[in-house]
Order: sequence, then C-alpha cells, then structure tokens
Amino acid sequence: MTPQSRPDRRDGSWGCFRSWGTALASGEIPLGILYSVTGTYSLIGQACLDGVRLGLEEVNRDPRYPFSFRPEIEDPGANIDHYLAFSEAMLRERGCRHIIGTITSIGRKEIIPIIEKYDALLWYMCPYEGFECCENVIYTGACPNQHIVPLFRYLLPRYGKRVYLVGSNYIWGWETNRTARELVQASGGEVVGEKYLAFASQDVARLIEDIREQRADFVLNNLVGTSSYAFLSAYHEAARSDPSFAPESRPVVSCNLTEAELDSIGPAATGLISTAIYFDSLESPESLAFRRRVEARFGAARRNSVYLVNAYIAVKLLAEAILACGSDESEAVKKALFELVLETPLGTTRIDSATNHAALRPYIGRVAADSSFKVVEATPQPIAADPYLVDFDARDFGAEVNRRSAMQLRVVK
Amino acid sequence: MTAFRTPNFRGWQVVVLHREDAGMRRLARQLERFGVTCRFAWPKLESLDPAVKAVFFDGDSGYDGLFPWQAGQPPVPLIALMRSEAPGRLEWVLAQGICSHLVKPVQSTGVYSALVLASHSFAQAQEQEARIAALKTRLRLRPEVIRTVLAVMRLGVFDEDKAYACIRAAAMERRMTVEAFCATADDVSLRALLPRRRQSSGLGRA
Repeated sequence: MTPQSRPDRRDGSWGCFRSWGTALASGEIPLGILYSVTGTYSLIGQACLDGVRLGLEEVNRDPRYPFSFRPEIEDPGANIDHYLAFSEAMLRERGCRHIIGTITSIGRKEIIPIIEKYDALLWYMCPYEGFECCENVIYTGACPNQHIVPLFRYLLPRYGKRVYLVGSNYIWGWETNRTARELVQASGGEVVGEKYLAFASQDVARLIEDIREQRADFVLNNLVGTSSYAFLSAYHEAARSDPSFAPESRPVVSCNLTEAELDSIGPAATGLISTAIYFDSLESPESLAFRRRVEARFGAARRNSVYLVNAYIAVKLLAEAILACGSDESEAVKKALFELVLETPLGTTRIDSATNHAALRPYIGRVAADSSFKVVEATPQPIAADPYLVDFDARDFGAEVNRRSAMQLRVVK
Repeated sequence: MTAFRTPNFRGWQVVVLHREDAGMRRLARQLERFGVTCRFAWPKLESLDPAVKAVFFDGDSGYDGLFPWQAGQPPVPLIALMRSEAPGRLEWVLAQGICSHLVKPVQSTGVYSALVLASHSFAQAQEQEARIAALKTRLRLRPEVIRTVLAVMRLGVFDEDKAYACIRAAAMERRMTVEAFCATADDVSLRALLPRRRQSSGLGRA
C-alpha cells in the first residue's frame, strides 16, 4: 500500500505527540480489536482478526511510523451481552481511542453510544444494510448501493424476477430483504417467499420445501454463519433429486458470503453468486502482492477474503491518518483520513467526508468448482457510498432492469 | 405484500428554529446526508417559504408567537428539539401540533427516523382531517336526505328502504354522495327516478 498524496500536517515537529501524555510517550497507541472469533460466525471474525493482525504487524515493523500499535483484543463470542462491557473497558481503562471491530449490525449499534460518549472512532469494515451515518464511525464495508443494488441489477435481467428471500432473524436480513423486495417490485417482479431463521438455527428443512414449491428464479440468502452453512448444504443435497435446485437453474445469491467461509461449506457453495468489494481472485498488482503477504504470514492454505483484506486496510488507513496529523485524537484523525488517497488491494481507496463511508468498487462473483470466486461482473469505477439511498430511485432501477432484460433476450436469441 | 418505499428527502428544504450551535450544526450535517438543505432562524420565524417541507424548533425555549401560523395548526410537519422533560414544556410543545421530536444533544442517530415519522404522521393527520371534513359536510346534509326520502315516498315509493335505495342509485350514477345529491334534488329530478307506473299516484299530492 502506497500513499498517493499525503499532505504533511506535522509542521516539521512531533509536538502533538508529546502532548499525548504518558500513554503515548513511548509512541505506543492502544488499539481496541473487537471480533468474535468464537460463536456462530467465527470464521468471519477470524478473517477480520487476522487482517488486523497483519496490518498491525506491518505498521509496527515499519520505521516510517514513529509509533506502534498496542493491540487490546477481546472476543465477545457473538454474544451481544459482552460488546458494551468490552468496548467500555478498552475506552476507559486501556486508553483506546480507536476500536476496529464488530461484524453484525447488532454489535455495532450496541457499542455506538459508548464510542460517542468517549468521542472515539469505531472502524467498521463489514457490509451492512445502510441507513446509518454516525460521526464516530468510519464505514469501509459496502452499503446497499454498493452491494444489493448492483447484485440485483446483474441478476434480475439474467435469472428472472421471481425471487425468494431468506435471512437470519435480525436487522441485516430484514433490511437487506426489504430493499431486495423494493428492487424486485420496481422491476415488475414478485417476491414468491420470505422466511427467517433464528440466529444460529439449523432448522432448514421447511425452508427447502417451501422453496421447492414456490419455484423461484433465484434465492437471496441473508442467513449468517452456521444457519447459512446448514441451508447451503441442504440446498445442495436437494439438487441431487430435484434439478430445480441446481445452481444453473435456481442459484443461491448473497451479499456477504466470501472466501472466508467457502472451505467450511465445501462443494455446496459451487455455483453460488455473491457480491463483494474484493475477491481473492482479482489480478491487480496490489491484490497479488497482498495474497503473497497473506501466504507468507498465515501459510499457503489460508484463504484470503474481503474481511481479511478490509480489516488490514482499516489498520493501514488509521496508521496513515495518525502519521499525517500526528495525533490519535478522533477529530484530527478523521480530518487527515478524508484527505488520504491510498492504493490498496481494493484499488484506490478514499473515505468520503460527507458520509464517513468508503467509495468502493463492487464485483459480482460466482463460486467455481475449485472453491474460488470467478468475477462475472466488475463495476468500472469506485461508487460513492449512499447510505440513505438518497440518489437511488426504484423506478429508474426498474426501468434499467427491464431495458437490460430486453437486451438479454436479444442476446439469447 | 408491497414493499415499504425507501423514504427519500432529496431536495427538501427545512427550517431549524433554534440558536445555531454545535449540536444544530450536527443536525444540519446529518440532514445534508439525506439530501436536505436547512436554514436557521431564531428567535422568530417571520414567514414560511412555501418550499419549506418541515420545521425543527427549540422545544426548550419556544414561546407563543414563535411561528407565523395559528397555534397548533402548522402547515408542515413540526419536529421538537428537546432537552427538558418538564410537563409544562411538553404541554406547550404538544399544543404546537408536533409530529415527532429529537432529544438534545442531537446525535447522528435519530434524525432520519424523526424526519420519517414526522412526514408520515403529518400526511396521515392531513388525510384524516380531510376525511373528517368530508364526514362533517355529509352529517350537516343529513336532514336533506330525510327530506328527499320523504319526498320520494310522497311521489309514490311508499317503502322507506326502497325510497332510499332509489336515491342512492341515482347519487351513484351521478358520482355524488347521497347527501350532495339530496341537497340539489327537487321534485322534478326525483320524479324522473321513479318507476313509470308509480308516478301518477304521487303527482296529486305533490
């Protein structure tokens, strides 16, 4: 990662550093890391933690940074009761002004009040359902105009407009499915079913039966963790006796399934279509270099994914911003951050000062037999985040889908 | 099931009737993120630009005469900005006809839902008011309906229910409410409604 342009705001001195007090006299900056590496979505948590670790080790080794990060790691174990206490301890007792963490929106929303109270910054790097813009959060994951909208723009003209929606019973599934419903209806399509499973539930048999009956064109899977794995496995099993479950006939699609989980899902993931702002199969020099670093650090068998890479980038963004402004105070860091333009494995990365969100380049990928994502569509340029879908018009979307459907028909003929 | 349309405030203008301080600038910044531009005014709003779609106001320091409209009848959704929870303050704020509120200090969380709730409940209240006004008009015209039923009976339809059915059918045909039809009907137009054979018997008494 190389900074393209970084204004030198240090005025030739490290005066700001001295004012940090005893905790920072040694140039050691405590960094809160809050990921669930145990519990139902532990694979994602582990990918995030590894990404942070890789970034942190690079920063601490690099003499360019006159400071080092001291990791303060906690594992809430996907148990919502632990998030608040852990983050409060990081902020109050361990002097953290930055926490990189949380995967689910429940987790994030749980700790936002305490982050605001201490005027700290939360670095959130997972895809989420949008409709949030907190001054004390930096959002580097995709929001709806960067995940579900491009995914459905790709799918509806190609696979049809009868859609089945499934999800885990919480805000991510509910809201992403609501947006999906709006997109489907605006395109003149139909949501033929919508079902939710309790968190960590593996009771998927009824879901499979209902999908069999409803004859959807594709299934949007917003289940998380073990529920998702159980569902994909049962879906794959159903395809043995019922060809309608074959991925070429009725694919399962997702906004949050990545390489981090593919190994655990196995052949059941083949044919699955997902959108992400990064796939390990991207061939850019930054991406190839990053993959080599992941291999060197975690071994050749370690799967790289958007979670790993984006957690790594979050640490690098934070380090670059602190380097630029000479302080870890949240306002100064934000100001410096908004000026940064970094070449990262995602491409050119910028954080928009109007929304605190990253401009991102969504990709659509299909899981091949070798368990890697083959990119089937790439957005040419990074798209600015539109967390409240202000510049989105469902009618325009519908018109575009129908125009593309007509083109698709001509291609098929 | 129809999808709940994503609320969109792109291009909205709002007025914030409050001293401009850091909290209010945070509010303005959050509003900008929804595509809303805002103008500050304090201590008084002299007039309301017709382009303004909603008004946020200081519920803690608000006073009678703050708004350029009759108390309790805002032409746009009103959103109170409150720190105080004193019943007297809440009473005053309620009397202004608020549609939602935001607790001060204003944070980024809550602004969007306050605007969604306010615009929704304002639209709902307006719809209800229009419906109540229409019902009031119909209620006022009820005596006209009785007069017309009696007139039709006098003209020869001796059954009360049949007389009413006759009037109702005529009103529907003209796409009018029964009340509006009755208010304009006279014996000549009523006679035209009646079955042929009954007309003569009514004429004598008319």
